[in-house]
Amino acid sequence: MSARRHPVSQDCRARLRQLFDYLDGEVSPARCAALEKHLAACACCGDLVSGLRRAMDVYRTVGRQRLPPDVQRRAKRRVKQLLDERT
Amino acid sequence: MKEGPRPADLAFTALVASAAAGDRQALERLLYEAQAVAWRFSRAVCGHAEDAEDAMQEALIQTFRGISGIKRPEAFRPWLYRTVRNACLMSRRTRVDEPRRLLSLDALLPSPEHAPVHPPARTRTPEQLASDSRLRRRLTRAVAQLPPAFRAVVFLRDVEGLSTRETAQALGLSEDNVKARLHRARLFLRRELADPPRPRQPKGLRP
Repeated sequence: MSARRHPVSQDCRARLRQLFDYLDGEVSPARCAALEKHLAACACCGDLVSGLRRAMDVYRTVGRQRLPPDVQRRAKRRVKQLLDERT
Repeated sequence: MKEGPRPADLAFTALVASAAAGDRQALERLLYEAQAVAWRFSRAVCGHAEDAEDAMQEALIQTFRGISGIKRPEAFRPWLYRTVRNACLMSRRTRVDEPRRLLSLDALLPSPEHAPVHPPARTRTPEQLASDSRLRRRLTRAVAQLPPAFRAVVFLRDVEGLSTRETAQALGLSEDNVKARLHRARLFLRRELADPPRPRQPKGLRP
């Protein structure tokens, strides 16, 4: 764990939207390369992006819950009932 | 660089097209998926487990009614999420369209008084991270602290994988508004997972 603190400078803050576009894969290859160079050199943005990526990864994995078996059964039964009644 | 549709999106669009064309098996799968979406959205965004079944029922009926009128199968996904959101609203009247509180960027970005940052990402896989029960609890608590309007956006984008445009269509927001809420929600979750556990009232949420 890094013992240093990396507050966000005004320069980095101005880059925030680009960093989110980068995380979402919505930047051009040239812009992507330039941002990655910056991330390697700037602890502030590097920390921010790695922390954001971690939070997104955890939420994506935790949030994508499977339906519990009893809920699945009820959902399938409702589909069958509806189609039997209406078709 | 804008990415093209993901294979999962194309498969879903193909499923919608088949169901709309009268394929019974596709229709069964779609009606099941509509309920699964309703269950996840209801649990994750509205937060009322007891209402999830009502939302599922409503999503099922609305999808069944709507499928024959589908002109553009690729537009079905945002329509389905909008339907589900409305079903959740009907059951609890929770407003997910207007935030009651704003998330302040200043409070969400690291500052000198914040604790040191966490270890770099990618040292553990997402699955390993998610199996960390302490981290799961912190995430669940942090998501619950987000105002519903932000929670809906980050859930649709980061969990359900909708595009910015689809999320905007589903929630009736502009794309800029989706991005603004998404960025703040992600910053909030990052901070809550990075810092030591905080007191109940989180900084960064202001009336």
